[in-house]
Amino acid sequence: MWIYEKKLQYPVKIKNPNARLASLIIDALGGPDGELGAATRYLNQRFTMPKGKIIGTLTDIGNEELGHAEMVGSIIYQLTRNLTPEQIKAGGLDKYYIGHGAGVYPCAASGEPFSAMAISSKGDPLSDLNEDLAAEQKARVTYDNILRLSDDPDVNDVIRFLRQREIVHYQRFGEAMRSLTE
Amino acid sequence: MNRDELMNRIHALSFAMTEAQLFLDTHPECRDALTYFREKRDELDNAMTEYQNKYGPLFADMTVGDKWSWVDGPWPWQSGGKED
Repeated sequence: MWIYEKKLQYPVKIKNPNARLASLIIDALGGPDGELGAATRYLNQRFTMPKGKIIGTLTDIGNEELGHAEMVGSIIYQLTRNLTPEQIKAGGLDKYYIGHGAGVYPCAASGEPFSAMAISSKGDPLSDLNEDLAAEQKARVTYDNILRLSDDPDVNDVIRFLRQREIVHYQRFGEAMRSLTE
Repeated sequence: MNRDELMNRIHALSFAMTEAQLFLDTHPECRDALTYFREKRDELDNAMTEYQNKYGPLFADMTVGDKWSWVDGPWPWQSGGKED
């Protein structure tokens, strides 16, 4: 079960709205390597894991990913506050706006809705943990790409935090996989 | 500490605990990490109690007083922006 804690894992305080950045960063919520997929992947894979260490790792990282989905949603919300129609059009957010307004909808930057097709749960620990290692690196690359295209310091501070978490999770999943052969 | 300072402290202590918890998941026999986790937990308990008594609940069941202040803002994403 879950209990909600009324805070973000890391504060999100963005001063300037930016339609273009919102249209890109939405990928980190609902894209194939986004936080919603990460949480869904780990929290479902854990049921069939053979060792407590691995179940604990998937539970706690999956839980943290839910918090990251909340942080990315907060970024999108703050970047799209008080946008004018001109800003929406100029920032390329018009196709999103038509369907979702300023609502936070999990999709890829391409507009493709979030899909569980982007995750796997095979009931096999080696297969699942190898996917998890790759997933953390793919999420890290997505954040690297966002950092290359964003020059907003308020946004980049949060993205750097999220990027760093992928690296720590990769480390923990590597240890979890090695525990299979202990 | 004012509200922002106290929340910053809660963020820092919560993060320290998250890191220690993930480490302990794959190193459950590490006594140093366990000691560190418990130290941070005690510090966080104190900070959370102070925050919730002064500024409102972080968990619904910590709502005190004769009003259901859980629904009062700001919610965690409602900060930043030029109006602040």
